[in-house]
Amino acid sequence: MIFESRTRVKRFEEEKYKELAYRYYDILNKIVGQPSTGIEIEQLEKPMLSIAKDSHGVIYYCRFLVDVTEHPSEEIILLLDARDKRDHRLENELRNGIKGKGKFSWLSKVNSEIITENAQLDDLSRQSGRAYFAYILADEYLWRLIEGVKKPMRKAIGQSEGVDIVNPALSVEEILILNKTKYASDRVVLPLFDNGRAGSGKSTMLYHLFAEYVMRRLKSKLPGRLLFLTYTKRLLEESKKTVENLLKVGTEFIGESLNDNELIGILNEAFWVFPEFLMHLIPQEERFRKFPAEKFITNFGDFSRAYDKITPKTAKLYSPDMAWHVIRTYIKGYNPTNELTPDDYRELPKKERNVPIEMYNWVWENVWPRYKENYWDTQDIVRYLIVKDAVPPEYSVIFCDEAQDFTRVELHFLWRLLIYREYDLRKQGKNLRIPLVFAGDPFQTINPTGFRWEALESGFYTEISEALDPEGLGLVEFRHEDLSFNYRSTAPIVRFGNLLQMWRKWFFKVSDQILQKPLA
Amino acid sequence: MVKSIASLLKLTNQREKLSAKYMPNENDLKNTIKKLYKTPELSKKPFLPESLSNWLLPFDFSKKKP
Repeated sequence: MIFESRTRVKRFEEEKYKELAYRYYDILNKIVGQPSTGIEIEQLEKPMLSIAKDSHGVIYYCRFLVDVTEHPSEEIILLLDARDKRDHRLENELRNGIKGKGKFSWLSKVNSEIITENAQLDDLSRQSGRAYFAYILADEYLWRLIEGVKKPMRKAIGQSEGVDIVNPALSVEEILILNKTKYASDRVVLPLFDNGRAGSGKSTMLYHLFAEYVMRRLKSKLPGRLLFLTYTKRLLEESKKTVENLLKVGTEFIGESLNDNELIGILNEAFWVFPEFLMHLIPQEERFRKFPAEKFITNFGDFSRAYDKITPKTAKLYSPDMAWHVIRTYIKGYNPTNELTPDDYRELPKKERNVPIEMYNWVWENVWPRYKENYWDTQDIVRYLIVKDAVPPEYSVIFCDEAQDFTRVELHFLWRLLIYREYDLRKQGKNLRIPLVFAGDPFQTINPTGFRWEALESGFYTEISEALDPEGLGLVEFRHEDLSFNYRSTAPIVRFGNLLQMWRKWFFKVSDQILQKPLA
Repeated sequence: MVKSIASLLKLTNQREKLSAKYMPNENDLKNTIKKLYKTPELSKKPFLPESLSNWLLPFDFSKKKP
């Protein structure tokens, strides 16, 4: 793993360093790979502080070996800073840091080359602005993307023009979650709900984990299909390309070859935009008959345009977003087989009801009948497939990005896709690692669905547990991870964001806010 | 005397109402207990084949790969 200190991240925001990034790339590659060729390495302070230099630049770094429970034994190279030539003042600051003095005093907390405690790893994480797997170094283009260097030296492997590749770097917090998800077996790991606000890079973590499963499929030829769902075409292209690149550079790094055609085949089969995935499950004649394209409501934007046509002007008591919320979350989105009537709504547990009954009644009487008669949306396909028992239990791995836009019925549909529901799992032990992963941010919803992680988890828990573990033997338990650090914004901005969240909590009486932690 | 009988009746009435509201129904209780003692039915589903159970294994961290 490569960790970069915040000083190092800032350094490469300077134009001078950006322009000469390729020189530092060469040195870094040699630190990781073959130190003896073309660079000088000197130990500045034993045992861990070193410098690597050639005629163009100097990199100050530390090497650590991680030996912590539930973390793979691996080497971390922490890049502290870089200069075009040796800087004796900086070297003194680093030496003082190891003694616990000055701006690098945090180095004294990790005062050994072997990290044996989680607390040391946390200290290291707090001081690091960025992290990535060493195999990224196999591809200079990907590395330059991570460093924020705008003009790539060359195109990425197989990169199409105009495709914006997502930055494959992770926060250290995500790396720790990712490692736990990949390697832990003696506790609840999967299925995973990954909750993070904008800037936490939660999708990137999904790409890394999904790449692992694709690799497993490629190598072991295991049965079952893989599925990665997104909500937009743009996200789909970005996700697919990033997973492909991670796999290619990863195998390049360990000197293995990859069957390109097989890989592209698996990825093309796995990545779907949710509405398109649903449509492909319906036979063509049925599609034309039941779901004509001109009546399709893609999103809230479409609904608000249709709202004017279906709601009498004199009767408009509530805004289209409220009507959409009631229809999507409750009337169609709550129960896969029946519409949720106002009487059913009254019977829901209090915490599940987040609109007043008068509003519900009004939407039920004034909007719902004409909407139902004239339009359809993704939930109708989902309900159709569930009722017809046409959800194929064929998928062994399911990942969903932007899960905040899924309703309860849609989530019900997703677990029915799992191949495992066809089998008796009692022989498999407890806390099964069912590869079902959701990432989402309730604050980035594109549909006003009133999404809450608690509701998703409780709904899912009941349904999946009943299906896969009807006797309640603890075969399936869920893990929820909140990404709490904000690596993108400065401390005052993070604090201001938190203040707004506190106001929101107080004003709307909600409890789902996540206060972010600034790094500083 | 009349007043106290009336208030006693009222109290009894309230008590019954409260019991009806909060005390579990006898049949419900019986059903719950029955369920607890019910021998789990043998699943008709086949056991998970080994090839599929490999998806549920943790990854091997001895190799550096994506």
